[in-house]
Amino acid sequence: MSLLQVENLMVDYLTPDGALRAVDGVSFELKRGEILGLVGESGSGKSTAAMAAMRILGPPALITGGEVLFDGRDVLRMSAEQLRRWHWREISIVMQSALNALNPVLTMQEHFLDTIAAHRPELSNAEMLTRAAELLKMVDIDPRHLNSYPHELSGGMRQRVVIALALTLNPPLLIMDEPTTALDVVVEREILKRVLQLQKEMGFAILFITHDLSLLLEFATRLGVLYAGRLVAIGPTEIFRQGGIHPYTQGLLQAVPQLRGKREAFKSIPGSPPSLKKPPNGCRFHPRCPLVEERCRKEQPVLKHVQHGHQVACHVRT
Amino acid sequence: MNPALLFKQMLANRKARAGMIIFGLFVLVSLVGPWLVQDPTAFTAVPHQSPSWEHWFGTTGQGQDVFAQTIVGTRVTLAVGCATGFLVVLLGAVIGGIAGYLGGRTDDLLSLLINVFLVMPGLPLMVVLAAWLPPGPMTILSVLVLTGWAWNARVLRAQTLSLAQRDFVLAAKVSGESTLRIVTAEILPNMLSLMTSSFIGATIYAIGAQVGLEFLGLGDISKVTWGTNLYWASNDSALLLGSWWTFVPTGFCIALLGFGLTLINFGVDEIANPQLATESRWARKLKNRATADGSTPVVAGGVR
Amino acid sequence: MNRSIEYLLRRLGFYALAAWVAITLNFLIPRMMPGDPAQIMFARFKGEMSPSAIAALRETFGITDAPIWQQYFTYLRHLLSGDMGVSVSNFPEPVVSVIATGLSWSIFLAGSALIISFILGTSLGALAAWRRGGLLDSIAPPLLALLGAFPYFWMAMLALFIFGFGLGWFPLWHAYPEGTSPGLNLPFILGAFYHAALPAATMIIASLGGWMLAMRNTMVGILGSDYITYARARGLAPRRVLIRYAARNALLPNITGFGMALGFVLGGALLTEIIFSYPGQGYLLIQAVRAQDYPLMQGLFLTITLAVLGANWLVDIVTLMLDPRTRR
Repeated sequence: MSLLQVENLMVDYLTPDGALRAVDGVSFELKRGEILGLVGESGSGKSTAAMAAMRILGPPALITGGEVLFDGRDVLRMSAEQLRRWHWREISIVMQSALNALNPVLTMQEHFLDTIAAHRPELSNAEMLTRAAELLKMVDIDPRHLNSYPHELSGGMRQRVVIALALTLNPPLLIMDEPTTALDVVVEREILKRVLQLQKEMGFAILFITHDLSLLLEFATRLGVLYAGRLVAIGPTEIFRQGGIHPYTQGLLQAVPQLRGKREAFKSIPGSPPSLKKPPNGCRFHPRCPLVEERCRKEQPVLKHVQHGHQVACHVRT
Repeated sequence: MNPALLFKQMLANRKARAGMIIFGLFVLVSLVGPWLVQDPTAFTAVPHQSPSWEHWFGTTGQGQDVFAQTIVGTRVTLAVGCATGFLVVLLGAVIGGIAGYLGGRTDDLLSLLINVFLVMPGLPLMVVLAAWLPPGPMTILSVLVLTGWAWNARVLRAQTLSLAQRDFVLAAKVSGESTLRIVTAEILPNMLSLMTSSFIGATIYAIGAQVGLEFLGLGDISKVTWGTNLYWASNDSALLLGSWWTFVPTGFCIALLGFGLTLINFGVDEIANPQLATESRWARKLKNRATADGSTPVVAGGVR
Repeated sequence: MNRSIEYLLRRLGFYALAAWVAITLNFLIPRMMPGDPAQIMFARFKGEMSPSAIAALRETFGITDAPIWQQYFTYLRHLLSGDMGVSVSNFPEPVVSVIATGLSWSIFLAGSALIISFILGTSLGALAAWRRGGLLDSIAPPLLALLGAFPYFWMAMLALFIFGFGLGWFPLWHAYPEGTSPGLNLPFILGAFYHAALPAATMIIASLGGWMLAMRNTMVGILGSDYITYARARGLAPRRVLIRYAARNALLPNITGFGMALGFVLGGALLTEIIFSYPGQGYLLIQAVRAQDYPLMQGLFLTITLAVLGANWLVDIVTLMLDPRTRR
């Protein structure tokens, strides 16, 4: 049984001009210990899909359809208290901006103690403090920073703290939502290296969300590509390393600068993603697609198997 | 946004419309009311009479008709209130606008001035000022403007400051537009709804403070206004003699007018931040579902 | 910690400046008015006061023939030595001693009403935002906005009329029962609370709506922020999220607002005292106005201003303790 199974998920945002579909029928699954990458431009619905599946996105976001199963349990039918107990013990999240995620008027210690006490109230204060110090050491931070406030730490340190917080209760699944986007490349590398080490030691699965496809190519087990609220390609990372099949994926890959190998022209995809208010008919990528055909303008393509568990939603490629 | 568009949107907004109807009613009363009732200062009847067919709101301790006094009192009270509201916003916009637009030293100095006036308790200062000046509506007006401008200056300064940093204003500056043009064409239209709500807020403040000062006896007590009505009620020992009708109608008028103005402001807020209106709409629709726990609600089929 | 002290000293400097502005206004206002200030000031008491007493008053206020800056320094010197002149309506009692008797009553009544209404209002506002669209959120704000539209002193009149004169539940005037002597004795203390209850209640009802709406709106903004989502995602109990993450953070801007609204709310409190003949600053104020006792009016303006500035400084200290970001 897969750890997380998302089936045909629909998420709407209520806006002054009516409902807006941010996630439109997205399906994916995640096995224990694997790293699934979700990639897409901003507004593609990747964060919304993950956070809605975790049920932590408050109104005006609404789940209007689909199914989410965690270890066989129906997440969409969980009560508030069931959700509270599920959160962090079995699924935790590292949010994009640690600065915004941490309460500015609480110290690191208070963040850790609140988190531990919410799930392990039987522990003594001293035991909780020991655990907090141990968690900070795991991400290479001196435990004396337990008394620091968020604004007193650097961006990289804050991000490490948030990763340590996510590991507090040894959950089997970690959602990482653009965890290193706000950091410089050197710090990003260091942090990712540490996360992957911890992942090997502890064996948790990761749902890794980013707009940076090149990053995912290095470590993801499998990859999914979102475009304007829809999943357009999903499969083992290997196919993506070889250049991908869906025209949008190929466009993204050509936009990645190659450090090694022959120098190729660096191409970006012309145009910009569509507005969710008025998405194009048929395939949502068709206005920007180099291979566009008449059919693409009318019919919405569905995900189809092409090879080795690789699925794409494209009339031309399937 | 231009004034005509804002007015149209206010008419379309439920709260603003209700508020404008209440406000309009008072304006109408203040315009034509004085011709429809008897002389409010005439000593026509037995003092301290409770409401009757002849005197709907009873009579004062001096035998004057309370209904006539309430109607006639609307005019000066409303006029002073609106004029003060207008002048307070004008002064606030000029001082706050200059501080926010020019920045630097000018801003430091003007902000200091604004903050000093903000922290000063208004009523005692008003009393001292009003006590030295000859009593009358003009005195009340100037005292209220002098003690009330700082709040609006603060709000409008903040807004100007944020507008002055926006791309379209920076672009206008770079392209060599004159300051006058930038202010009138780029900045002012974007402050319209804020200035409207500031005006309404200042008018509410002015009516309350005006009534308070006149109640203390600092107005011209020979003039008929809501404030002097209350002054006479208290002077004629209305509480002791049980003549509640001498102060209750005026209080209700003040509250109704104030509530109407507040409603307009709620509406203007909703127009300026459409998010607010949507929020209350979805909050109503999702009322029976879990919203308080902050989890993503599951609504098969969505909310239309 | 050094930074904190520096911040508090900077604020203290600002309040000193504001106090100086108030003192200077007090000096300038009579001199900017048409006519001879001393003539206006003592006009009512011409026959009753000896010329030497008037001369002494002129001296205190610095209204002499000396150049204006010299008058100003005379005035400042007197103020610094705690001399605000003599109250003409309580002649020959000095203004300072007249004011001193009323100050503690005002602080007791207005202070407790303000604090209760702030705590109650912000709690209700926090709850309304937490259960947005719920019963409290739909009913309370418009109701309290309507109540808040009535002038304070009018509410006080109505309350006194109904519960004092009509039903006889509460005393009609004064701050403590006749026959008790002020001091640490039970009849006096209980009586003082009993006398303060109705005026305080009217102030609380009239000002509750403002605090509630302000808190509700800040809370709504904060509830949409990332750290609330993150606190919920970590499985924290809703109560904990509400109190430690949402309400606590929303309180900070409202405490600053509390400081700024202090002067305004106090005005309403002064008028309420008048209705209840409560022997505080407001009661003195109307006596001063009725008797055209200008020295007393000016003295009241100065003491109330200084009290508000002091309270604002306390608010700064509280903010500093609650918000680590200002401690930087």
